[in-house]
Amino acid sequence: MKIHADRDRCIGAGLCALNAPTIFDQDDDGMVVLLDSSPTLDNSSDARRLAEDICPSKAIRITDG
Amino acid sequence: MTDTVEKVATCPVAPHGWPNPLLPEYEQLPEGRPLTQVEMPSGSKAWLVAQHEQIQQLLADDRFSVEPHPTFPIRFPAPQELLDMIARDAKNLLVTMDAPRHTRIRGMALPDFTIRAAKKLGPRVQELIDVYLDRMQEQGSPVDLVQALALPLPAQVICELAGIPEAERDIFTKNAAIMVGTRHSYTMDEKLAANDELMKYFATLVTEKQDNPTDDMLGNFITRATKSEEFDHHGLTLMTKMLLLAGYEFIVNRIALGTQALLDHPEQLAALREDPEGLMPKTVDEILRYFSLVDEIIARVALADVEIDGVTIKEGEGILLLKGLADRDPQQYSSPDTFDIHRDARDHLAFGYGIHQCLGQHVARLMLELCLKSLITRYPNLHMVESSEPIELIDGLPPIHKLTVGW
Ligand code: HEM
Ligand code: SF4
Repeated sequence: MKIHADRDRCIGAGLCALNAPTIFDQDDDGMVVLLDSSPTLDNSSDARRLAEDICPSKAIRITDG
Repeated sequence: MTDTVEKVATCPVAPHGWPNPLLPEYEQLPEGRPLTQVEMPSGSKAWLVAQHEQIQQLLADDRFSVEPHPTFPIRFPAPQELLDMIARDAKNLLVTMDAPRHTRIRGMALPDFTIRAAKKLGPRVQELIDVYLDRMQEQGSPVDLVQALALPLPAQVICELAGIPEAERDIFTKNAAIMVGTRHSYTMDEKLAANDELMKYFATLVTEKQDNPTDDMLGNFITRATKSEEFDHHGLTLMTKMLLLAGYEFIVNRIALGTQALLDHPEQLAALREDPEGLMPKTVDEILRYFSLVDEIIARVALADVEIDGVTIKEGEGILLLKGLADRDPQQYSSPDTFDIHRDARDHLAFGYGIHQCLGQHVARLMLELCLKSLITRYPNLHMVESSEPIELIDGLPPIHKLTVGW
């Protein structure tokens, strides 16, 4: 599983960094920063929920591999 | 499939007698929550949307606009003069700007609304809470928590964000309270006068900050916005009012309603006392979901034909997104009318969705978390003495109600 965070789509809501701080950070301008693009299984279900249900700008994408 | 809509109902989501998830009338939603077409007071057509998934889909779709439009769904009969004024002001307000201008302007405020920026504010918010709780203590049990904490605390926090000096805070807190108060407490004239006084004050505040830049949320925004030349002075005054007052009554309500919900559910309150660090974030999300009031309706207008679940929303038609109902959507949450701090409610729509999602959400979360934490740790025996149930809606204003607590 690979995580992608699209800074051009991000609106800086910070929900990713709030909910999965080991995978995402929010920089000083408010935009998403990917800390870990291949998190372990334990964290990954959270990443999926963030991508599909929580991130308000659909800036987080998950691909296989 | 629009032609299968047999009857266009008059929009029930009017400022008087709005359906409210806290009151039984909201059951009037048709089974299965299909998109329902309604006619606005102006005669234009709009769709009511109450499904969680559909709201997310529509708010993430850039073919919908928040900018003034001849058929934008306005929920009250508005004379042309008022529409013209709304349209003039809208150019200067973040909530009524589309991308790409919205992206630029939001970016000017965003650095001061990040999670880190909110965290930095934490110790000061705690100090302020302690002051109000000390006063409560002196006053003695019982007290009305709305007057003692929910109303004054956010006003002071907003003053911190705006860098308003202590000596000038009364102008802000007094008038802000009148503006969000119910019509039982204040007349329309008093509200208009409070608005005028605040606008005058904000105009001088903008000038002061342009002349002597300050390092606070408002100061930084005004510095960036002035440099960009995107606003004139009046525009900056309007933006200031929006940045400071957009969420005031919302947060006041959530502090009071959230406390009430916890006191109504003693087992959950006990669990939270056991594990405040672990359960507080979930508790805050559940409070936001449960009290995602339908009065705070989000509206948009379609700039193109948009298909959704077999329905065509035509160009020029409005959408009214009933987030309060969607946050009680049984397809999204099991037993949606049950308050449950153990559920995962992180996808609630209380702060909206899409590019306009609440800018103040981390500050709002911070206030809610620290207020609840302070109340439950300081008062192990906190209990309800009297509350105004069922929550009363007066003239469509969200409920700022009385919540008398003892300890
Ligand atoms: C629990 C409290 C709050 C709730 C439920 C809330 C709710 C919302 C909602 C639903 C929107 C989106 C409106 C739309 O899409 O049309 C919004 C936007 C906004 N909120 Fe909040 N809010 C809260 C607290 C705050 C606070 C404390 C502030 C400021 C200090 C604030 C500032 C803003 C701003 C500036 C916007 C406009 C963002 C934009 O258009 O990009 N809010 N809020
Ligand atoms: S949740 Fe989405 S919009 Fe918010 S900061 Fe993360 S990527 Fe950006």
